[in-house]
Amino acid sequence: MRQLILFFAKYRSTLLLLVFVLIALLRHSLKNPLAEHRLNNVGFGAVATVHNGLSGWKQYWRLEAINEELARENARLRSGGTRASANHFSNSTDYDFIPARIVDYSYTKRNNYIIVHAGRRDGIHPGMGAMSANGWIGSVVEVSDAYSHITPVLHSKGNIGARISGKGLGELHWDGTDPSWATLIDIQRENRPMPGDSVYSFTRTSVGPSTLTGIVISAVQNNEDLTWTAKVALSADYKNMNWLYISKLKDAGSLDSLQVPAL
Amino acid sequence: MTIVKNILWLVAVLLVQWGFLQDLPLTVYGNPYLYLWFFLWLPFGVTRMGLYAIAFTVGSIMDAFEQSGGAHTLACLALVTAKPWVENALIGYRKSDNNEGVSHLALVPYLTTSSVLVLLHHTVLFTAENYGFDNPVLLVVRIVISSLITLVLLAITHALFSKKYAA
Repeated sequence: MRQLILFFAKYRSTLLLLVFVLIALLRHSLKNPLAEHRLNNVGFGAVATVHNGLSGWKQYWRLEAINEELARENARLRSGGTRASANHFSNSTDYDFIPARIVDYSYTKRNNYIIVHAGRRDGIHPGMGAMSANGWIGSVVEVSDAYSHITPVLHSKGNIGARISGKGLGELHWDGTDPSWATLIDIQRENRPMPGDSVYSFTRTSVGPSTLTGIVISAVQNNEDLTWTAKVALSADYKNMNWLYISKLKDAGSLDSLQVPAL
Repeated sequence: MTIVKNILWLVAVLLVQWGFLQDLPLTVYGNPYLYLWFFLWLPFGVTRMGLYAIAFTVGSIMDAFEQSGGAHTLACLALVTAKPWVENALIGYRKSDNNEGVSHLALVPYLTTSSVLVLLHHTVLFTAENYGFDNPVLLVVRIVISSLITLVLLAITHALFSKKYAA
């Protein structure tokens, strides 16, 4: 026993370091945006509240950009066009769109995030889709009473299904460099994407409506399986975001009842 | 009194980090992390256990704000673990009762020591954030560019707060 106490006394600083490293590694490995991670949930509400306080200060410097974004959105709404405009998702009658003010976001990391000031009490749940006036953004992964954490496309696990009208499906993923473009892979060889083609999100019905996500810039064919890979200019401006809309399926209950596995 | 002063410096550094620097649209290849200045400010006399506890606390605060799991905590722990060795190798003998830190050195030894520590911190941070060495070229670009921007900001901070800048 004495030896044990002496051992702990001698190596106490190294042991403390080991404990801290293990806690950090555990926390980091649990930070999986596609799964529940209760350990990382601790304090999420408090942190989001601080972000909210700081965002007031930061938004003051972005007022010009906010005004421009609102003016453009207003002009689109007044024009009443139903063509494939950026915010065409609002024409969908199957969803309610909950407006949410962004309190913090990042776009320079490999794994980016967005925190919005709307949460459980506004009717938001994990799994709902998020979109800006310009296009698809990502999906909600974590919710507190007043705030929500969104994993955007700009994330190593933010891949989504995407489609080009009349040209089938592919998978949209971001390679971690420029936040203004992403790559659409696995498009069938007979459906060659052309520059200017619109790319729409293709997610489960409960997540959100099909939403404009980007425009094809160029495409190359893979030599091995002859599928097409397209470079897509993302329609959402991830460097300058102020408000998002969270899509909520109006009749989610009926859909849930269909998805109950047969006994 | 020294503890209160250090806590106030920590709060100030974190506020500057989050109030000004976090969304700075300098580059898409990472953020500057000025909060590392706090570790350079810490006196040489702080014990290893004290350094570990401070690194864990500061790293956890950054992780909570940046939604980065434990990446900042791991990077801060790596920094404070290497800090005494780097200081010994680059600065050498110091009086045991020295109540000043790296930030009180003249510009050249300050920047030399900071460069090694910042590079180590950013390497651990971005590798952890990247969940490994996937896309290594981009990883290296992120580490180098972020380290350079952080070092420029640390040099400016040194010019503003160091007593020995002119030395």
